[in-house]
Amino acid sequence: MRRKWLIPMAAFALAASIVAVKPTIAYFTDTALAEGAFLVNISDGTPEIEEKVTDMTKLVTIKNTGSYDIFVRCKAIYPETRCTVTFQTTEGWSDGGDGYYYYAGAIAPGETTPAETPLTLLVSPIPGTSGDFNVIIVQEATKAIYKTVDGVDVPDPDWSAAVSQ
Amino acid sequence: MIKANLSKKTIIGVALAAVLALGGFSVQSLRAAERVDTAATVTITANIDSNDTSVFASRYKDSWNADSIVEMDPVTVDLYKIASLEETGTLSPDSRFSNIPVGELLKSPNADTIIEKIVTPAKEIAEGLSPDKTIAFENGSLSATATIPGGAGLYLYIPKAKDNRYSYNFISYVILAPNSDYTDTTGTSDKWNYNVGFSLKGTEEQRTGSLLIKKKLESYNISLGDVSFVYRVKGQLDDQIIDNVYTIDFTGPDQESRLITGLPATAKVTVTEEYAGVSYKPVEGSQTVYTDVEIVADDGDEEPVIPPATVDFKNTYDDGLISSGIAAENQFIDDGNGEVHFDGRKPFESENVR
Repeated sequence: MRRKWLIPMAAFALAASIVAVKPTIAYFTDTALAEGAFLVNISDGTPEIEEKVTDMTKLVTIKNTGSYDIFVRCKAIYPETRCTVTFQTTEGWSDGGDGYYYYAGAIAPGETTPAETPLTLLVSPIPGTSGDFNVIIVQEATKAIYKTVDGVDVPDPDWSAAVSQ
Repeated sequence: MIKANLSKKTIIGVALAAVLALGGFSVQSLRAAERVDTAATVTITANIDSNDTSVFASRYKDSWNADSIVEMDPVTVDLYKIASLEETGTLSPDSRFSNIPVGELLKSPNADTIIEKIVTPAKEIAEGLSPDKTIAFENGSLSATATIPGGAGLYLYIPKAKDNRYSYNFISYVILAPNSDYTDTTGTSDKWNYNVGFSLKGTEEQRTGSLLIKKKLESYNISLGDVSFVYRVKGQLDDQIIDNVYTIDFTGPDQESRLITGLPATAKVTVTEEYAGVSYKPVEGSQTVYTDVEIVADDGDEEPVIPPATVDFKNTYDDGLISSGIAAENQFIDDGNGEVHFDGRKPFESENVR
């Protein structure tokens, strides 16, 4: 267990050798290990979700409170027998068809996905049903990685990113 | 103390009209009626009509079948003596119920008036008292009797019944023992009847129970930040659909839990770990789905006698590097009038119970 923190370091080194990486300087720095916790680093923050709900419409923005660029995606989890959640197209957001809604660009530290074009989800109770219900929005983020295509940096988010064993 | 003198030369009989119809007390003059034997034993019998097809009666009868899924607590009727009936037919309020205006019975009140002026205030007083007598149904019998030597008087009766799914509501009322058939609108005899009774008619109310979802996160990547796990609780009880999702939040390796309340008792639900974050995985050998989890009634009691149905989930860090941060649980409330309103967002962790 105590050697496990070495693994992400090695993985990062490997990844950095094959892709161009935008600012991620602190991503794997300041590694430490605490009892009971798998600690990769102690300096970076994580994304923060912000929401507004107006007339059954959820308006979601994501703020990057970390110290490196990130890509974000969200998914809605809800009781399908009680309500539907419909994605409303706004600039920058797309329905990935895999249950997630993706924001196209990278979000720099301290920045937020555009408030004027938030992820917009319409919550509609199913007629004939009753009772309270919850709609949960889960947000995920991955380090902003780019690959170079014809000399141009192209976003290349890796949503299966994992530390190599 | 207010005494209701129901007669001098003529004795006023007070009888309870059929409880089913709640016709109220009929106060009439019983000409040349005999005096009340205050030393006599009176019996008060509660009945469940064999032809009653209500949920209460049906489940009571079913509960005595060997293979029944109905688990009914003993059906009881608490009796409180509000007033003594004296030889002359005078009602003398018991000291505990001295403020109850039993004299209202002289005015041929209807059932609503009796409930308002006598039953309701008497019930409030009775809440702090032990019953004078309790009628208890036993062994599947459709009737049960309380025998009260020297018990002539006016009694408040409060039936109680519940089973593993329903609690039953009864209209509490008062009954005079003895009463006279003469006072029945169809009766002609002015003799005192020392064996009186009433029928139980209960209306059912779905009981509720809780589900405790326990979650242990054995290892945790602090770099990825706070993490939420999402659980789906789904099931059906007759035409009641149970389907909702809930979060449990973590800020470190720990054990957290979430108590889901207000679920219909006896419902069997499936609890699924709907979202475990992309950087965490179930501990080997742990369950991610529980089926046929039966909800046990607790009626919202924070310290129920029977602990709630409990499911356990265990996860650990899976070496992923995707931040699966806070899941925002937005709560929508059905106002019961066909409208749904956004009620707010569950604060991170604040509702979790360790």
